[in-house]
Amino acid sequence: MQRSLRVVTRSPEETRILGASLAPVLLPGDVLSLSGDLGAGKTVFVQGLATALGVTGRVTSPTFTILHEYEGRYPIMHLDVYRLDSFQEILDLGFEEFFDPRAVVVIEWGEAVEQLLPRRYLRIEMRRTEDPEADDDRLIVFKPRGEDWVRKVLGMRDTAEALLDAASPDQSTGSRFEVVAGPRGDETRRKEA
Amino acid sequence: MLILGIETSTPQASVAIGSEQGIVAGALISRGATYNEFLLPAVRFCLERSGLGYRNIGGLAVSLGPGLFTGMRVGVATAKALAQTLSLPIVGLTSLDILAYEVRYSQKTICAVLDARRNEVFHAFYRPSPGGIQRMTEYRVERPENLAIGIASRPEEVLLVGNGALLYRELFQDLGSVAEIGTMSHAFPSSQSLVELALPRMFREDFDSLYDLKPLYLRRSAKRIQWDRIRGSRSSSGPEEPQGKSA
Repeated sequence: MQRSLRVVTRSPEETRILGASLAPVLLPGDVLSLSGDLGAGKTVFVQGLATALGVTGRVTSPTFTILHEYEGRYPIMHLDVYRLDSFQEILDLGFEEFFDPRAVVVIEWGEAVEQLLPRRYLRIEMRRTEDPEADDDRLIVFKPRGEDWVRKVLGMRDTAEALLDAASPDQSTGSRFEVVAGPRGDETRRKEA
Repeated sequence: MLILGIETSTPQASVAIGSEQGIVAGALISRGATYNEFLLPAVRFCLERSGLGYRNIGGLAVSLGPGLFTGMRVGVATAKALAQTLSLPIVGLTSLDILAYEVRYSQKTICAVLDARRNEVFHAFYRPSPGGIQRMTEYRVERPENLAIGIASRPEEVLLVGNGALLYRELFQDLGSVAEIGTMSHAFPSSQSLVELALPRMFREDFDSLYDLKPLYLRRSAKRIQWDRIRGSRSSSGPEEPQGKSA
């Protein structure tokens, strides 16, 4: 089943809160793939997530450094494959070892190397909304791969709703989360690798 | 002749020093220190505590994997550097051969299985032969489900050893009595067995060329990432500016 969860954040702070909301449901061995153009808020999302997982240092984009490792409640491997061109380059980095069962793995543009990802992971897509007036708005779509990710995403939604309401109580106008049943046109076909 | 053995291709890294008369020193670790942090201090510990120096070492033995990328790189690079600076012969052996060699007393077909991460295992099949083992298959990387099917289709009983066998124990145990799973003391290839296996080659002067010795990488891919398809599908959403100031 391809279900996805859509939400629009109104500011970087909200994107950060959304990232933090994912932390309570994460376990070592979990893999997230994050995609979205430059400025879509990937790093902000990961900052929120990492802080909520107990990382105290600075969290920056690994686009040019490829891999950042953080120590939080679990080790966090934050990597970005954007600057790589071939699967071999990724293997030559020791890619398989990044999937340490003790660590949480966040891969920017992971969908590009989907064949190398585990069968169960959470895909997160971030983009600007169509609304030219709302420059800070971001559409964030969570696409769980595997039933346990469906449950985790719904758990994240409950946390996020509470945190977002607490952050801006006056804007509360019902749930801003929308569950979309797939398959959708923009779903990538998943091959059993 | 004393041989220094280095096995860092799996999560359990170890070094051992030994000769045909036995192992004289060893060190092993499977958590905490990185391969780099462990390796040379462990060698120093073994030498110092046994009253030896590098001058007493007559040859290097190193595990070439298949295994974890960083460990293989660190192990092979360190062994080559030592062999070169100390002008010593070097011998490379594979992690799966070492693992299978340790259970050579079994009468069963042996399948050495190491966890390759990402739901795959490295494996090879062996049959016991007088004085050792004989490898029957190529080194492969494969999903454990497929290996389980391969084992079920064999007529004979198979002994599976290695951390891959333990990790996917249930898959293999579903095969019933056809598969026996080795215990945790055979989960990883040991540097002691590496030394033992390297000794006959040292005596035969069947050395490896220092410059040709490489880790055994089983995962290769010539595929290019289809960036046009991936980036193109979502780059139509406006100017590329960070979200707000704090992005």
